[in-house]
Amino acid sequence: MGTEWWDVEELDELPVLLELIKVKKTYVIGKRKLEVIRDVSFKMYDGEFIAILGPSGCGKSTLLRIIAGLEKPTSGQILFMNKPIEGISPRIAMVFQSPALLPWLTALENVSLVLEARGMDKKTSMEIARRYLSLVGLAGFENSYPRELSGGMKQRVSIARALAVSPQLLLLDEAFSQLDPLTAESLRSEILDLWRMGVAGIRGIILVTHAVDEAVFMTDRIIVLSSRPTTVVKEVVIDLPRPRNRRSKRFLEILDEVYEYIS
Amino acid sequence: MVIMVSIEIWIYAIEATIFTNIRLFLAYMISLVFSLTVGIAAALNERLGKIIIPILDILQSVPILGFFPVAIYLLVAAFPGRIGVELASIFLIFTSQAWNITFGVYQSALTIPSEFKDLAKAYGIKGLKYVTRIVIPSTFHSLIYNSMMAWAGGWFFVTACEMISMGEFNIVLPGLGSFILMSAYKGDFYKLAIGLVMMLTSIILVNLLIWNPLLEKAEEYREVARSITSPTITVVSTSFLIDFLSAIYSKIDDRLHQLISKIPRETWNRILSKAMLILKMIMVGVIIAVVFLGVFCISKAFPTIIEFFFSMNFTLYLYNALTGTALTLFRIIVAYIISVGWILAVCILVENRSKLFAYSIIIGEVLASIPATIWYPAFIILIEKYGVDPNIASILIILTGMQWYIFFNVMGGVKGIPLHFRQVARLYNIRGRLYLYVSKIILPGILPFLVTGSISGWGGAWNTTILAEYITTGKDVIYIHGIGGLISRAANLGDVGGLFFYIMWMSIFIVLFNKLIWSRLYKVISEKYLAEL
Repeated sequence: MGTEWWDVEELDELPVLLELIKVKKTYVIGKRKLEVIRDVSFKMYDGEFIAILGPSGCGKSTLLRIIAGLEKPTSGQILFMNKPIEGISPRIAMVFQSPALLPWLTALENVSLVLEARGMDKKTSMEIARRYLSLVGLAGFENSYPRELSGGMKQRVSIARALAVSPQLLLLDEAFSQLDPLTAESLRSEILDLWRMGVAGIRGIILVTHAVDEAVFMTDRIIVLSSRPTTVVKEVVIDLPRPRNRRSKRFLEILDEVYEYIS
Repeated sequence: MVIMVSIEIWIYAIEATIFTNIRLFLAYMISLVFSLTVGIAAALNERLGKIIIPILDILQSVPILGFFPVAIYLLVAAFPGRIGVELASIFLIFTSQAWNITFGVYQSALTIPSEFKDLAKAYGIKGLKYVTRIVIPSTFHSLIYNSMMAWAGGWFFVTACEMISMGEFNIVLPGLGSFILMSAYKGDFYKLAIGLVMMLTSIILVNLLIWNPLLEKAEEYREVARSITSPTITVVSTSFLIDFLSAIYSKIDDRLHQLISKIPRETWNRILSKAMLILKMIMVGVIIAVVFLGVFCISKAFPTIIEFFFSMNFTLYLYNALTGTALTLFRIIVAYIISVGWILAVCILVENRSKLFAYSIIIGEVLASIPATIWYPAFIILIEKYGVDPNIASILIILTGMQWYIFFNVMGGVKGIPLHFRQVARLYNIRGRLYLYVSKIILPGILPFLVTGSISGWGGAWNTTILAEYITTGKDVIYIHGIGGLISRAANLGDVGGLFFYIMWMSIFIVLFNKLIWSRLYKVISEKYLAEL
């Protein structure tokens, strides 16, 4: 099944942003071997917003962590702008499932910390952090501590933190799954707006999710993964114009199609 | 008999209080620096951890009071006069504080939430920034909690080191500890009361002004759904103090970062590797020096040692040590059963009442600070005049050195039981059936903490036996046969051979006891219960 993505021919002419070649991941726990990812290969093109979709526990988050450089694949290669990724790349940023904000720092300090870690001086990093916080609608909350913010606001800080380092590739690890439906929906459209405006020079976004509706609503292409050990089941191109109507006929057709692959 | 004008007594008592607090403060500062550097280094560097943790484990279980005479001999030899004794007392307080705090820091630095580790990795937060912004704040709660216990423990020990008598060697350092003890020995109840009032006042003030606000801050840093939201009592708002401290902290952090960021990366790496090399060389140097010094001392003292060796009555020592250890073990077990009994009862009583909980912590804090030795005169009267069994006195003193470690750990544990466990308990009326509630919700929740507290408590108990089995007020002496009493008696009679033999015996026994019983128990229990929380 790993060969099926060759079918998507019309995209092949665009420059490739990210390429996964036969990525495998096996954990060794004591004497037991746990094969999480069997064989995953796909390409992601410049200017694309893709989704990695799969059932719970299928290793899609592991795959994203491998792309981020947080974990090493057992074998296989990942090319980012035609160069192999080794370890953490400063051009890739990640929004985690939980906001992962440090409770002892204010919203502003949480964002500016990652800029300071890149060697920026305190004053400039504070300025940039302030700008990104207001971009995600948190102007006025700079000096609030995470415990004083709602779940949605915390995830916004986390997004501001990811945008502030001006990444070329943004990874979203089930970034909306811990929010209530209304907050999640407004955050989704905000991400789409930011993406359309071309904020922060982002050239691609990968969204890991198990929500089919979310993937069809947001992304250009869905890579459907099987359950563990993971392989690529199918790639589905979503050729709908944005903003998308969830009740349009084509939307529902694609939804049905993807549901078939996933179950 | 000279009766001091009461104003003078008060002035003297205040002076003594200041001296003792300064001693405690200096010892605590050294403990703090030691704990943070050693604990964090051991947690972040696996190889260092493998060396440091077993050493700390032994240091923690060895009876500190038994080694005190050795420390005094060495430090007085190096710094003659009062400075040497002062240093020895600070050293003793340090040894009673440092290991617990270090273990706390180590444990919490080791268990930093994985999301914070991922965050640091993904955004390249490393080196000094990682330590100051992520590791130290993560350990803050455990640091403050253990510091509170250590401060109380420091009070417990301070009396032991402000009045030192070994053979003909008699030193009294001016301080509240010696003030209280002297008054107690002389039966001067007026002065004793003044001393106790001063002690309680300074303990309560330090608690309210320093530890409670810090603990409150630490609770905020944890930001986990806790069952009792804020177990602290704020009488005087000292948030300005905390703001001030955290402002200083981030200033220092920024300056350091600026300084380092000015140095080019390559130079910095070179400096780091040079520093590591120098550190390794220093460590090797220290080891060589210690070995050399040891060999030198032994060879110098060889004739004396040989003489000593032959003069030592091994069969007697061995007989004493065996019977003494058995008796001491029995007393500790009795004290342990009493401790666990009342602590569980209190815990069940206050676990769901946040005000009461907070007060019981403060009361515990105060009671824990009262040094066992001030009961000596009372016990002597009870034993000699009223024929009370000395074993009872001994067990009561052991109790004072044991129960508070268990108390604070269990109270910390019960506070950590997640809110939803309690909600489930209320929802399905498990609360209504006390037996079910205690056995299924409370006990499993506190069991790992009970074991941790028991390990420290037993350590404290072994240490306290040195005070509990040799009750003396200078003139009167009551010896109660046991391994701790043997050590005390040997030190007081100047029987260096016996002292050496019994200390070694006790240390080895405790280390074996911990390895064979407590470590295994801890492993089993933490695997079973800690994961579920």
